[in-house]
Amino acid sequence: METTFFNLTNCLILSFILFGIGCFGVIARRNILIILMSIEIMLNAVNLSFLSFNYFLHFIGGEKAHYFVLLIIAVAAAEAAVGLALLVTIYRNKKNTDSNSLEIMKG
Amino acid sequence: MIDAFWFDSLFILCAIFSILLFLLVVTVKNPVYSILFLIGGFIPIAVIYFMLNAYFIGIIQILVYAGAIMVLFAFVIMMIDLSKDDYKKDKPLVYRVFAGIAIFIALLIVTIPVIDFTSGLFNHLNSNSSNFGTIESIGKMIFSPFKENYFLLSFELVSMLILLGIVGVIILAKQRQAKEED
Repeated sequence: METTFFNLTNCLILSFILFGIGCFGVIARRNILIILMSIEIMLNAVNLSFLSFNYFLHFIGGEKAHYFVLLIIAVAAAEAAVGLALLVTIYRNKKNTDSNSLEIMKG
Repeated sequence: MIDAFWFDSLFILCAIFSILLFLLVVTVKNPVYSILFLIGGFIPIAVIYFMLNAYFIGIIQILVYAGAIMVLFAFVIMMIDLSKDDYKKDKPLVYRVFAGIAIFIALLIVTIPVIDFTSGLFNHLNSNSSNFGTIESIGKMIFSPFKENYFLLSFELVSMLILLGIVGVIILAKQRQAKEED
């Protein structure tokens, strides 16, 4: 089979679709927990694009792309933890996890 | 060893599953189901990482993302009263569908040059050493300080960053006890 599905273009299209799904989740959902989960989806899409570029460009940077993806996963972990701590604090003060209720600075 | 047909079909299967599961994350109403679909969506992504010769990153994805971060999410769901979610205050469905389509078109405009540039330019290639992407070779890269790859300092600084995260979480989420003077 000459034309294969497992090439750089299709991996980037998958990364793009996942990033779009994450963006949609951040914008269109009101529950802050779902927003945090959509941020994780976006970070996964970016990891996929890093690794697919590394693989399909004949490993042009060696394993530095793998190490950078490891750093991204570590940063995502720390950021998810801090975001969840913020969510817990907001819930304690407002008794709901609605992002529309955070409008003290509005207007 | 593994011919291209099975590789392609596995890639298409993992792609479809991951897109489906992540779509379900952002569309179902109950956040508990969203957590489960998110964990389920990480599995096909890890399989794709394995196909891209990133064995260490695939395992780290399952261990750290699906094993630790999602457990954090599950703990927070445990502390939150989900019966108070008010679904009447959602914007109408038309707005949200339109927002989704608008995001899709905006991202498409940004990524079409990239996709156009990369199509047919680079071919599928096997790895040049059987040791690539394993824990051993990434460990050698990270922990040898005086070669041309100098990642030891950044590795230690990442551990500092995670410590910062821990301190921040404790300060943010600590309940202020009312102090009683004796």
